[in-house]
Amino acid sequence: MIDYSIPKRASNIEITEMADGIVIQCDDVIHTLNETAREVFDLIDGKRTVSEIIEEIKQRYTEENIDVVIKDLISNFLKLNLIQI
Amino acid sequence: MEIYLKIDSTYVCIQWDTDSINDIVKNMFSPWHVSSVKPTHYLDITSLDSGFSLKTPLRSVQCSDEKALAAYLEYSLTLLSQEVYSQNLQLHASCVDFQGNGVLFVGPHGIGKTTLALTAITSGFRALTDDVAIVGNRHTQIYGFPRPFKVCADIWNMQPPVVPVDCPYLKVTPETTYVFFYIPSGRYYTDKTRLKYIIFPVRQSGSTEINEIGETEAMRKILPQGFNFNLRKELIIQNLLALLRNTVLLEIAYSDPWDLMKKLRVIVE
Repeated sequence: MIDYSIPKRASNIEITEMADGIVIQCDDVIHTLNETAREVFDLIDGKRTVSEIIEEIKQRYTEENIDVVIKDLISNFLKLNLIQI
Repeated sequence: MEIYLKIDSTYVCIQWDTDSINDIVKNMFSPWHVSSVKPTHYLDITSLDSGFSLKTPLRSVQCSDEKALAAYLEYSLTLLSQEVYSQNLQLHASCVDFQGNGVLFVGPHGIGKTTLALTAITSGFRALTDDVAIVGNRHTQIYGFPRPFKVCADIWNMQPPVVPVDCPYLKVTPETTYVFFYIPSGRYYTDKTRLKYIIFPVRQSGSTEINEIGETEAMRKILPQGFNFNLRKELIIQNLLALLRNTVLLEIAYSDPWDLMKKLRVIVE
């Protein structure tokens, strides 16, 4: 995955909204995302690049190394087949 | 001889041909006995030269002695009950009731569900179910699973004791493992409750800590404990979500079940 990759959500997922996160069903596997992971997932819309997603999240949080955390998260989404690039 | 059991709206007849197993058969499921019904399922026990034959709607087995028969009988009725409740979401959880409010203990094997349920019962709660809870169609309705409590020797021998002293019991394999017992229905058992608290126990050293947790964290913890192969995953999620949205969700880190129960009593009262 490179910074100008444009991730998009997989077509076979179903999302259930929770008060503080989401549940994603992908085929027979169910995943839960907390509020922070959900913020990243919400920005994956097939239009934004990885670096644009990182920039948006950076405006909301001030933690160090947040770009590494977001990249890891997106990589995990990819491994779990929740998104495609 | 025969007895009848009620499992939801289904009736099961257990028939046997020898007085030597009267206590086993009658005792194990006593809280769920009913009379004057038209059974839909039969379990037949026939004595053989060496043991017993147990014939059920799902399988037939030969048991070498009374204890093996007791174990198979419990297993057979568990399978049958799961079949009866095949359209309901089932949770790997124990449940107790305090003045009409249900408290569910959810978690993986070994986290202390049965120990906590028993400690609660000894502390004044009523028993609903030991290991499996059935979620009713109305979101927060929880049904008990009709089978006796089953504990290993460690729990049976706990001090102070967590098993109420007057419970009829049957030691299946005395050296190693399980004791079945039921709690007299007139004193402790209830058959359903409106769920108010879902407890996710966590073991830790030190004193008990209670924290409210959010829906997503609770969903992450409860999902692996929900099962029913006949229900679509979406339906399982919707059922669980309804349950989580209408209950208080608590993670309780504990080392001493009695300390936990003292604090839980304050909350539910």
